Amino acid sequence: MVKELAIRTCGLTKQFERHLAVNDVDLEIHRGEVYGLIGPNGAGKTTLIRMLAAAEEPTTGEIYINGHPLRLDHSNSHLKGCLGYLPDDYPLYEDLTVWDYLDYFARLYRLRQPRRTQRLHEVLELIQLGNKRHSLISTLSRGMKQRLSLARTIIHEPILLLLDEPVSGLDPIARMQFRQIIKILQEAGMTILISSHVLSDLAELCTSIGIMELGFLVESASLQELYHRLAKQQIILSTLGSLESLESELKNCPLVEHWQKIPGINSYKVNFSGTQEDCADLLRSLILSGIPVTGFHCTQEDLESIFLKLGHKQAS
Amino acid sequence: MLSLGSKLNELNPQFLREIKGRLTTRNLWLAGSISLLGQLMLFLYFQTRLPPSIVKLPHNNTYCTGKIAYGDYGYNTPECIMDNYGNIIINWQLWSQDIFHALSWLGIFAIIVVGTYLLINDLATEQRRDTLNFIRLSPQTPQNILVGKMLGVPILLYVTILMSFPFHLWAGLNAKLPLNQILVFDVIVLVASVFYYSGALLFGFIASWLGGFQSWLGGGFILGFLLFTEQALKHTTVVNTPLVLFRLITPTYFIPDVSGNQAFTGFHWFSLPLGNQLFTISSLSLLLYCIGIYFIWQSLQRCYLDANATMSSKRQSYLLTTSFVIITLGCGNWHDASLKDYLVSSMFVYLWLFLYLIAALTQNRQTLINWARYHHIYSMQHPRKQKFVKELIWGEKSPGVLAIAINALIVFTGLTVVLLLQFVSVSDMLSGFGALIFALSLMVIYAALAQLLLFMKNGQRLLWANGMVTAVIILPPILLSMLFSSPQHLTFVWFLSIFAPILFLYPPTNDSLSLMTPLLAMLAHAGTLGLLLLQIKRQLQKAGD
Repeated sequence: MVKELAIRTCGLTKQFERHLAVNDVDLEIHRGEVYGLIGPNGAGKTTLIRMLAAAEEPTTGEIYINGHPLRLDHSNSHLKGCLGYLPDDYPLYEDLTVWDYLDYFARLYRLRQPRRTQRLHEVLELIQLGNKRHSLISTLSRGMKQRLSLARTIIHEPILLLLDEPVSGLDPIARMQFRQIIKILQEAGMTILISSHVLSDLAELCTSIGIMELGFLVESASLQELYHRLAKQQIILSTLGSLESLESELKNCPLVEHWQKIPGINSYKVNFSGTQEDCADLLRSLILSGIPVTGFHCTQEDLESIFLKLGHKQAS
Repeated sequence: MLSLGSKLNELNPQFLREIKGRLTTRNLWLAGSISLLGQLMLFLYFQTRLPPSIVKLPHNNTYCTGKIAYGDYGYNTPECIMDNYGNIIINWQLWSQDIFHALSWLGIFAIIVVGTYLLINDLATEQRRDTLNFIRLSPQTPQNILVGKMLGVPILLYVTILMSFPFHLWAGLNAKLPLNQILVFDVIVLVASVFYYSGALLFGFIASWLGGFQSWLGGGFILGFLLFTEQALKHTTVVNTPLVLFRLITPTYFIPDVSGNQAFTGFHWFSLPLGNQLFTISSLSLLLYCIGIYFIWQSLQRCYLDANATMSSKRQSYLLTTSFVIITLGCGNWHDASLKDYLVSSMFVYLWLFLYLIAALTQNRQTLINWARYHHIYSMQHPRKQKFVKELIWGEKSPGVLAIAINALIVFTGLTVVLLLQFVSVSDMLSGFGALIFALSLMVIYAALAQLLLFMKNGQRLLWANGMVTAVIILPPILLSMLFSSPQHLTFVWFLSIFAPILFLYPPTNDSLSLMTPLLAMLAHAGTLGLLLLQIKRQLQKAGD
């Protein structure tokens, strides 16, 4: 069971002064998963990721990477070779060129020739910086630097990638490029732990989600389970007729929990607790009662709504 | 050569990273030019010190070959004499030796002081940029990374020094210095550089809180140390005291001289006459460097892997102190040296050891809070060390005061052997024991004070701890000597200062001390230590609640 897990933590705790930044966290991430970590600022996400990356020593608790204990006081060179960590501030050597920087880290991670040069070309192609390989890092844009940092993180083909707010401060195009790279890495079989405040990105990328609050891991489940358990079905209903008659029909349906008028258009957003068949029954009954329905679109609450609804807004 | 370089680059990526950007054509030209220009200036300077070609006799000059006479500047300089062709006969051997000595001096100071500065500065830059963490997370060993830094960061300095090597060798051979002496000297400088560079890296790791000032402080300290050992100990004739250790780790004392090396003549180590032969004394010096390098690298590995770790584990500290005791015991002249001189110089050397141990073993606030709260869990992780006292003696995260006391006990045991084996009078022996007890109790008090100050809830606690411990050591003797010029007055207060052991060995009056004053002072020491320990215990209990 333990060997199936890429990450397992037992009672992981980190205390700064008398303040518990991470409190007794038991985290389990299966191999090949993309695990999204969300929570308000100061909830303990960065500290948790730093401990998983062996950049910070836990106060108490154990971390197992692929079943092997991770400790800061031992060199753990094998485990270090399995990990790729991208912190939120990604410091770089501004005096080096893109190629020299990646070459340096490839050597640090013991990549030998000719594999090293081949791998450098691969990652440069992946992050779309091939044409900038002889440019000094100081001349790159923020998005390029972010992609270069990601390249540095994956240069040694780690099996576990830890990304701490990798898209913060990036424009929408750079974010999209970053998402595409993550998807490619996921397809390559990497296990990825990613913390981000951009929940729409996480909804698109992740297979599982963990929510942190006050240093605790208050929720940890697959995205599907989370939607199944917490997301409500919504129907966007539009009509050519009067909203009053539509409203009176909705009142007759016990599966309709709540509705809300969408301003500017003749439509309602309806919270619906039934199944797909129940949706079809509702549409049929509306048409049979003579309401001129022009739109009937079933949708689900997104991750952001779920997160806000759960009310986990407290920093640790 | 090229394949060796690429092999080194393959083996040590850090070395490659360091030389990239440094070994540019422009920098190489610059380093080469500085080296050649420096050599040329030195050569021209020594040219000017030769007697002029046309001179009216009688004339005196250092490099003349006549009989010694009282010269123009008050020095005993030889008179100049001419050969049959009317040319002044020059003592070229002495002239070459002076060039050799000047180059050796400059080389030692450049390679050790400038190299130390460069290494500390480089680490400070890495820490400021926060790039060192990425290197830490790579699977490279600490040794690989740090050796890469030691080889790569001062690479231009190496180029400059290497370019002056032929001139240095030429001057040495011209001075008729044996080649083996020159090579032994070069080996000592090389090993000394590794020793001082290792120390510089360690200082760079632990002094990051100084915010960039650490490179100047470290470089300045090494410069001061070399000048102190060179100048202050130059005229000390007593070599059979532990002070000789300072000479043994100062390469300037190994600069070859035609008249032979006098710095260690008569030095015995455990009665072995090591000081009379260059080979034996050089071997001892190299052994000391190697021991020092071993312990520094143990600390470097710890600090590299965990920025919050103490410099030394408790176990390593006991081993270091034991090695130190063995080495210093050997430096005592077991036949005829004054016991008191031996003890005073021992205590001076041990003061530095204990200052290092206090810095190396004192835990930071966060570790103590964690230990106070979770030590029952830590001891469960190490089932053999469950007992509380065992954890205080060996534990990785426990407070370091007891460990300092044990180190003091090791020193006490070692020096007791000296006291018992030296057949001295009972009163001398008692004053020796008294001095030792006072010296070691002061060390434990300083350790407890440092630990308490590092437990403060103050952002500047490192600064406070360093400042306060320094003040407690330095200020009382200064204030007391300003207020009361002699320890004859208020002897009791003097006993609370760092001078307490010396007062015991050399009582201020002709009569030996009355028993009451030292006893009261002893009680005061015990009381101070008790109060400090009580306060630490309270703080730990508060943190653990």
